Amino acid sequence: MESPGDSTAVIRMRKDFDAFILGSGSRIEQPSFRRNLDAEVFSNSKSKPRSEEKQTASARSIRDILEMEKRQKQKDVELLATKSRLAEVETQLTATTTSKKRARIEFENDLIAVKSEKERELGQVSDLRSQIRQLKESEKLAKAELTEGRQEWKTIRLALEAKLCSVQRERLASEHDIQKVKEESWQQSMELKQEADCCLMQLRLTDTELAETKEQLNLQKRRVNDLTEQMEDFELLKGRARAAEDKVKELEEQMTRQEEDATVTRALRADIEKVPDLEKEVTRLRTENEYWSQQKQNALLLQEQLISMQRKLEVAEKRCQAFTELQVEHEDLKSRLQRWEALDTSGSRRPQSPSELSRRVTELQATEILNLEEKGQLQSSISALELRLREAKEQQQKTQGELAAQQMQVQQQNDLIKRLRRKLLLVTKERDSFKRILDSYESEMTVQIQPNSRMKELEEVLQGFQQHSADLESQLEQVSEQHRQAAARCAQLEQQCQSSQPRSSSSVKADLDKIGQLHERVLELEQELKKLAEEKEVLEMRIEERHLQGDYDPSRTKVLHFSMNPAAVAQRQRQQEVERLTVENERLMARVQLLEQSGGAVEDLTEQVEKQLESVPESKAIEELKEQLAKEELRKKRLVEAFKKTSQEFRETCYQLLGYKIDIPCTGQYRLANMYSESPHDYLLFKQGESGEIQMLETDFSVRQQDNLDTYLQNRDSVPALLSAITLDLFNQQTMNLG
Amino acid sequence: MASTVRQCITLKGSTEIVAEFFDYAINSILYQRGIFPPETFTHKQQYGLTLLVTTNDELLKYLKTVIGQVKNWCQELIVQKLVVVIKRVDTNEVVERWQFDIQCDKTVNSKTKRDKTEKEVKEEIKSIIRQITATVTFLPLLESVCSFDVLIYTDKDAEVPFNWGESGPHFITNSEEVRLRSFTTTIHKVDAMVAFKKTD
Repeated sequence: MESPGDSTAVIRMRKDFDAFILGSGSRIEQPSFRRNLDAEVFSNSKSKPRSEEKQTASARSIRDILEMEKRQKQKDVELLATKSRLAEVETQLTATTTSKKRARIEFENDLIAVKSEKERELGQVSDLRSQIRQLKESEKLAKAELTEGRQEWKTIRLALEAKLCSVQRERLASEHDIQKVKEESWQQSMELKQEADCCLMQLRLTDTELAETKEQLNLQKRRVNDLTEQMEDFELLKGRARAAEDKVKELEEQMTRQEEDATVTRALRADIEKVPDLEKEVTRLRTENEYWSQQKQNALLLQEQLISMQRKLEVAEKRCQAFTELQVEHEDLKSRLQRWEALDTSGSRRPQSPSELSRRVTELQATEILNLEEKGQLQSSISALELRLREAKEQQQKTQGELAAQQMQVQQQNDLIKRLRRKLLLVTKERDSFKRILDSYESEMTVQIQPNSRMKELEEVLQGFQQHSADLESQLEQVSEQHRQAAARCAQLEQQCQSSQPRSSSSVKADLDKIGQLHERVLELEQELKKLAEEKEVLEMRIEERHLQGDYDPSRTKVLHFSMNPAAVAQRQRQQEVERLTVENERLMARVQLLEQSGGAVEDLTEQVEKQLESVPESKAIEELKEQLAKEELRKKRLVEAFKKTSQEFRETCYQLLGYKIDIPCTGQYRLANMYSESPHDYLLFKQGESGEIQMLETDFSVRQQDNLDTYLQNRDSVPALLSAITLDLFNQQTMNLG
Repeated sequence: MASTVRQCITLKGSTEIVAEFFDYAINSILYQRGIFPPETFTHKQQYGLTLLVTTNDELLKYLKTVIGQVKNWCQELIVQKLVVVIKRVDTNEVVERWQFDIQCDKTVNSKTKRDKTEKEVKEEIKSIIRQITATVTFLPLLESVCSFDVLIYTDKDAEVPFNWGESGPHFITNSEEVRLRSFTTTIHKVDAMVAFKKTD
């Protein structure tokens, strides 16, 4: 088959084919039958090869000849084969005869062996017979022994039976005992069971109790936690209380000291109260003393007078002596006097006689004495007044000192009040800040953002506030104490210096008022503090609760989880399951529908169901498209709204910036209304031409603005300038009207 | 098991103890709350108790991954909480939250050693596990099919490993909380608590 063009190729092919058939035939023992079979097989299964053969009918004669030859050859081969088989059989026959012979020989050998063996066995049999004989003898002996043994055995048996009886009796007794014991044990076991049941019951009870106690334990633990917290608070309070007690002790000491002072001052005051009486007495005694000294002086005077009188008496006696002389002289003089009288009659003023003169002298002397007396009185009164003056001065100095002290106190109080006010201001500020923080916190609580940090701040602030308030309280106590002292002193001083210091009382009253106000303020603040503390507590509780619920600070913490966690997996599985079930459900529904429609008998049910299900997605697609459409419409609507809003804004800003409201009454036309125009009907109308240029249309308003139109539109061709000019004009008009 | 050196506890040892505790605690919770069928659990002696440990291969794999990650974070001292959330599969509603607060002593480094024996720590852990077992008495029965998730609260700067993601805190609406015991290795302090949905 090297070259397809070769004409001998067909013949060669045939030859090859025949050779092949021959080859196959030689392998088969009954080729003709086989051929037929083959042919049958060919005709049955494959009609094509047969037709091929028909087609090659032209080469048949050659084939027949070849077949004949082939058959002859086959027969020869067969002959040869049978011959060979014959030879084979002959050889086999010879082999079998030899083997038979060998077998016979062997058999004979075996026979001899068996015979010898039989003889041996016969010998053995004789031996055995002798043995049997011996054995019989021995048996006889054994039988005798046996009888003996039996007798012995009988005796033994009797003994044993007796024993057995006794043993059985014992056994019965023991069985009885055992039964008794069993009964007892059973009873015991019953009791024990009951006990065990009881115990189990108790155990169960105790278990339940245990659970309860555990719960209670939990509760108690929580309580203990609370209590420990409270204890801490309590200890803090204790510390405070101790400090307060120390303070109280100090204050008590101060109080006792003050009381002592007060008693001392009271005693002194009593003494002081005695002083004016004493002073009075002193003055009285002084006056008396003076009086007595005067009296002494008088006595001395009288004595002197006495002495002088005695001298006078002597002088008078002398004079009596002289009197006579004088009488003589008098007589002489009388005459003289008569003459003198006679001589002097003109002077009426002069004393007419010496008696008169003497009378006058006595009168003068009396007046002098009176004057002297008056002088003495006046001097005494002067001294008394001087004394009083000194006293008054002392008192004044004292009161002045007291006044100064009082003023100092008042100043201190004022300072204190100022400080308190400042503190109050601080406190109010703090309180405000607290409130603000609290508000913010509350507002944030709703948003749930970082309550922790806020709370901490709040706590800190609150602590500061508590400290402040505590300080303030202590200061207030001091101040109130001082105030009480000052008030007492003030009262004293008021009594003493009512005349000199009427002002201080008013200032004290003002102080009292202020202190009262401060007291109220402090009370208010304390209440507020209490309220805040409560709120704080509540908030802390809430924080604790939130913490327990798993709250966290998103600024510092993040929550992570493995994405393939069992929950997610379970969720996904469930979803898949649901999807699968819905699909199945749909299919089954369709099936049911089909079955219902056709009354139960449908061919190709599954196929139809598939068809129906395939048709469903179309409607689904339509629905999806509808959804998309709705979405798009919504978007469009939103865009339009947004556009409207922005355009509105744009127009509004244009109106505010440029002063013109621009409307579009119809396409291509623009209506401009000025901000300052007098009526809404004043507007300008513009039109946009096709090439984009702006043309102005005539309106009532534009007619009125002819001047501006001429100057700006006709001459300069500038619309913006015209619009600005109109705006300016209108603005000026309006402002003028307003002006 | 944990690499403690006689009387001391190191950071590594503490991490091992904590991780081991979480493994047993999660297993106990899953068994006690019936999240997985009881026949998939096997007995194991630990902390002087007989604990039940899962034999479910997938669950074992998951727990190994999670606990391994927690171990890393414990070592870095950036883990704050470990929460076992139990939620309903059908509604995804959270019904129980087992929260373990972890307080890390940030002053600790790999060389610090603390005086506390492993035995003491294990005693504390034992009592927590016991409490977890005892909570079944008051926790409401889980009536529907539930699954669980493990949330880990870490510091903000923690790296998110592959296959991990951020999650919500999974709060329970209208919950009741019970605080359980705590234990400390002096390096990590673990406070346990459970929150569950209030039954009206």
